[in-house]
Amino acid sequence: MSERQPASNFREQFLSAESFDPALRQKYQLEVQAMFELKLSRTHRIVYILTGLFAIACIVAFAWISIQLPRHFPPLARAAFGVGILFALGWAILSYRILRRGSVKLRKDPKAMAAMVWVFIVIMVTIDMLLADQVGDKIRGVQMVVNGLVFLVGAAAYMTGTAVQQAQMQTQEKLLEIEYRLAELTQQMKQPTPPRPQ
Amino acid sequence: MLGSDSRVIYDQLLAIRCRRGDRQAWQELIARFEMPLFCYLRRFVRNEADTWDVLQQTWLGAYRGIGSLHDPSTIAVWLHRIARNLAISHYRASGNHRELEPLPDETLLPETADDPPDMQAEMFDNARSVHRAMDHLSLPHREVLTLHFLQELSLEEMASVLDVSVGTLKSRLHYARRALREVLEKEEVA
Repeated sequence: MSERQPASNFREQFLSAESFDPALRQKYQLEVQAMFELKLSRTHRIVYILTGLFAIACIVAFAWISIQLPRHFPPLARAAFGVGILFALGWAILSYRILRRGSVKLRKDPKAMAAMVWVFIVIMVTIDMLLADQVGDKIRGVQMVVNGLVFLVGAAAYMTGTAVQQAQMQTQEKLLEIEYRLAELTQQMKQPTPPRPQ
Repeated sequence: MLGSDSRVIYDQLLAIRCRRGDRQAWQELIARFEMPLFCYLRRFVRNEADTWDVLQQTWLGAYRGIGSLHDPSTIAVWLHRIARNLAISHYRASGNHRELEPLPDETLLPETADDPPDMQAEMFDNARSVHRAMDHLSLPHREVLTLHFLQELSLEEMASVLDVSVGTLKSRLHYARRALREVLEKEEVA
């Protein structure tokens, strides 16, 4: 790669010679600010209200079912209802926060939703696998374990990949921060020091 | 003011932080590239309001696609490419096609050891008159000169943005500068 040209005066002049209407720029800046958040439309609002209500209904239903379960019911299956309650609670809280804010944070909220669904599925599959030996039909039990394993191996590979990528980015960021500091110091040292007053 | 090296490293840092979802870094990235990209887009889009719209779409495209930017050192090229593709789409949508065709007189300059001599040191001294004169040039010439004057990209990077070889880029830059000089001289005489 060839050297970039050092930033010159002409560049600054060239940029400042570009005329623009401040009102249009301000409008653009407001739109760019809004780009990171999606304001809730009427339809969105209804969807999130329904999601929140459904989540609350699920919490109530799961809680009621888990209380009504017979004593001999496997504790793991009972725990699955607990996980369901937590999952529904997560959705209820998220929906409430989005509704109160009046906007969806485009980077954070979809990530939170995906993470909740991901964790829920992994826990449920794991419980499903642990319950396999309590199924009367052995072939069905083996099927449950194999299905669960396929899913969990995929999930583990994905999570490992993501963790490695994050770690790589963090390391790269730290190295660049050091490099940046060094470049700044080099630049400062290159600048001539003013003569000391006698 | 940042030196050239610091600026390149700072851009890479911003790219990584943006990929990690740092909102502050997004704002810094936008502030850093806003005017150079606006200036570049202005060469394609004559209407100012449309230029700001295309710039906004550029940021939206960058925001959505940042996950696919695996090499942070290519952030400047990547942003310019997004902007260019959107600008060309806008340009075509507004019924202009002819100016996007390759220039007929753009013969490759013979390969010499270094850049063509007039690319290295000569500077046009009045930015305002350069801006005015550029309006009389063809789109490919306006585009390559703007990238050159903005000094955001190396020659290889500029060639990558324009999707041409470095040789073609050097020739185009040579002819563009010659055309610009001719316009400036005519203006001076007038």
